[in-house]
Amino acid sequence: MLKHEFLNLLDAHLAQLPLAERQKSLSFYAEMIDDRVEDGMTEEEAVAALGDISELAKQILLETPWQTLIKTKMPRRQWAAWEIVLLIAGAPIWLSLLVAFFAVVFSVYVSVWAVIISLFAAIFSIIVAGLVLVIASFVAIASGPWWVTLLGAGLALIGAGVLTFMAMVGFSKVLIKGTVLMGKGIKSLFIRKEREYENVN
Amino acid sequence: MDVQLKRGVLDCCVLAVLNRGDSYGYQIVKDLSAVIGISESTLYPILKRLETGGFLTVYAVEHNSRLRKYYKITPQGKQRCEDFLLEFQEITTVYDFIREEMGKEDVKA
Repeated sequence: MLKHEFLNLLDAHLAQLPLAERQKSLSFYAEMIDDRVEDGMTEEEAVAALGDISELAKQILLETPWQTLIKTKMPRRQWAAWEIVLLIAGAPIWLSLLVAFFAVVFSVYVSVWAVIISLFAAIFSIIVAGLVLVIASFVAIASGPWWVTLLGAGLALIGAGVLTFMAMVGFSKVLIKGTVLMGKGIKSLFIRKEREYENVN
Repeated sequence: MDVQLKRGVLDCCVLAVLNRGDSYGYQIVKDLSAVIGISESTLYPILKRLETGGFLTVYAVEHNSRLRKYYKITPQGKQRCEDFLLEFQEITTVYDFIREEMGKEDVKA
């Protein structure tokens, strides 16, 4: 590659930069090539010694303050007057929809927790009933052999209660995981919205 | 090497070369090649950064009917090198400490 070809290519790579910056970079590299040629290299050798042109351009762009880069890349978007008017005029609609959305989410959470709490209450009552039966059986020893039935029924209830308690712990873990997933789902809903918003601009 | 540290080292290498006397891009690359391999694509951002920071000034001299840019170190540039040496003293102290704690003091001797 010859000097002018190299400089044209570099100029194209740096198109993002303001003209003054670009010219400074180009004159630096032009001088480098001239000095190497003076040192005894051919023009092609001097250009080749400078290395990969896209790497070179990347180094220059990386050193450029990000304010300069952003200014050239993203024009700042302003809210148009009609957009603001529409936003305020539409408030009764979108605001109530938003409230309804969060009310639904909230009610799902509440009902999940209500199910968990009521099931635990039921298990608790079964265990208490079992304990009462066991105690009652000891009281009833004097009044005949049917106290054994009472004791057996009481122990069976306690056993059933403990087993369902263990099952419930697993079940409620699943439920809680479900609500957490739902929360994440709602969050990602908003993130996706934001990304779309960026793309639009 | 840590990016921030490498930057500091390279900046001071360039400034140290200029402390000898004013120089131009290709000469700086040649002078530094003995100590640290540095390419033009690395040197250019460094020079730009040092100029913006006020550590060196640039002037053009006519050479073989073209302009060549010379770089001159400023008092701030000299101060920057002095600061670097002081900072590095601290790093060496920490280095010795780490070495000792890692049980490698015998190697040092």
